[in-house]
Amino acid sequence: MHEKRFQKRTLFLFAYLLFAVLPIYWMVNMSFKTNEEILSTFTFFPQHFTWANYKTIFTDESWYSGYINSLIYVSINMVITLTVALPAAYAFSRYSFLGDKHVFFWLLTNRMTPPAVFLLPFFQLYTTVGLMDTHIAVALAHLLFSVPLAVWILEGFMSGIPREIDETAYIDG
Amino acid sequence: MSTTTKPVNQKAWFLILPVIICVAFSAILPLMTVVNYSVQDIISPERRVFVGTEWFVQIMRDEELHAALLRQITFSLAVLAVEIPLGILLALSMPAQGWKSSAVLVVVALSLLIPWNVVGTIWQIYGRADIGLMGRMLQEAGIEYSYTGNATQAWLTVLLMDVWHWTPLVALLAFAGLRSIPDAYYQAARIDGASKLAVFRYIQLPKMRGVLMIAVLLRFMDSFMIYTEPFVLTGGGPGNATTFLSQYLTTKAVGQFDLGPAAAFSLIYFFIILLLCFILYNWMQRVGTVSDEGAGHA
Repeated sequence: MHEKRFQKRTLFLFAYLLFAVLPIYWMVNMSFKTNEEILSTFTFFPQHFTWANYKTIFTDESWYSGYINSLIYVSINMVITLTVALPAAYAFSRYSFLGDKHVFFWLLTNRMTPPAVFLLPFFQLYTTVGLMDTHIAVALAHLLFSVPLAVWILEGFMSGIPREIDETAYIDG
Repeated sequence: MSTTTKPVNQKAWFLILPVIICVAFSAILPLMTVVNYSVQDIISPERRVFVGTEWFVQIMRDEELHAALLRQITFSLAVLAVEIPLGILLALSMPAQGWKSSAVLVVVALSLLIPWNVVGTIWQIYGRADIGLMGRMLQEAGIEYSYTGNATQAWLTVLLMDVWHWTPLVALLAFAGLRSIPDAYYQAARIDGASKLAVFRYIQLPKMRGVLMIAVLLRFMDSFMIYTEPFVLTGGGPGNATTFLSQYLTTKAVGQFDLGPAAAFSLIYFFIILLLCFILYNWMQRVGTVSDEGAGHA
């Protein structure tokens, strides 16, 4: 009875893993095929194995400018997020002050807001301020989601550090 | 946040001031703009008329919105109905220890790491009848499958895609919940001669209650805001079959430039999510403090 049950579970697990991996496998599979092969035949493994697709995405201007843009957004975003989120997380984890819980919750709600809600005003706002189509605009817009999350996570970490360590550090100067 | 021995210090406000300013620029200002739009009829940048609640009334009576809302709720409920049991089942059947456990965890978590628009692209190709594995298989099995032509199939494909993408989250949460049950519980159950089902019903399920509640709320909220994946996969079609709330809103705001109604709807949408978020937040606070008092009724 126990053995049988165990096998059923393993079977289910394998079925799910298959379901989970197949789409990814298919994507990887196709990435090594030539365009003609994708469109003309149906094969489970690349017949004419090629790195050409990867070469394209790393050398073609239109592709790698995308990575550069992403990197720019991420860097701007990260710098701003960390500089504003660190002190805030410290404040939340070390002090209690008037309305701290409400502010914390309010930050969290921003993380949960449907992005579509903000789409319209962002468009208007950035056009007005003249930031439209710049890297800063995208980075700023994304702050909305990254800052609350950063504060939230950092707060968790800082609360994990016992206050005694702070105090010892003070004593040591 | 533990409220135990934290000193009261109002100066801490200065530390969170940067965050407030930042978020004010990217959240409050836009939101105020939305409120502004929702009560005005903007004819041109210079001419705007205060219309009161007209947009709200109009949007509430909008048939398309009703359809999209209904579709959205059905979808979110379907997501929960599939992903939660599947996630629990998956967590139960995952090996508990050793390298097998780690390997399975990695494979299971794989789909969580994929960016949303890529998920859409993967499934778009995967489901195509000519070059996609799934589409081709279904075709071979004699099913006339097309996510671009058939409304039901498009809807099911989006659901399947979401299940593929997010069940791991539920599974990982449930798995974490299962790991936290001490072995003594199982030993006691074995001595009592409890069946597998009884163990699940009276030990595992109550112990997982906290994390499952979080999973339910997270999945509900996220699926309620789903935008990218259906947009990439079906673009809301065929017809309106997979136009969910976010997409409906985007079409209205940017596609048709119906600023007033779109803004009014944005606010309603926002409040729905806010309510859910409030429930979630309070739940998570309580899970941290209250132990599983409801062991009998899960």
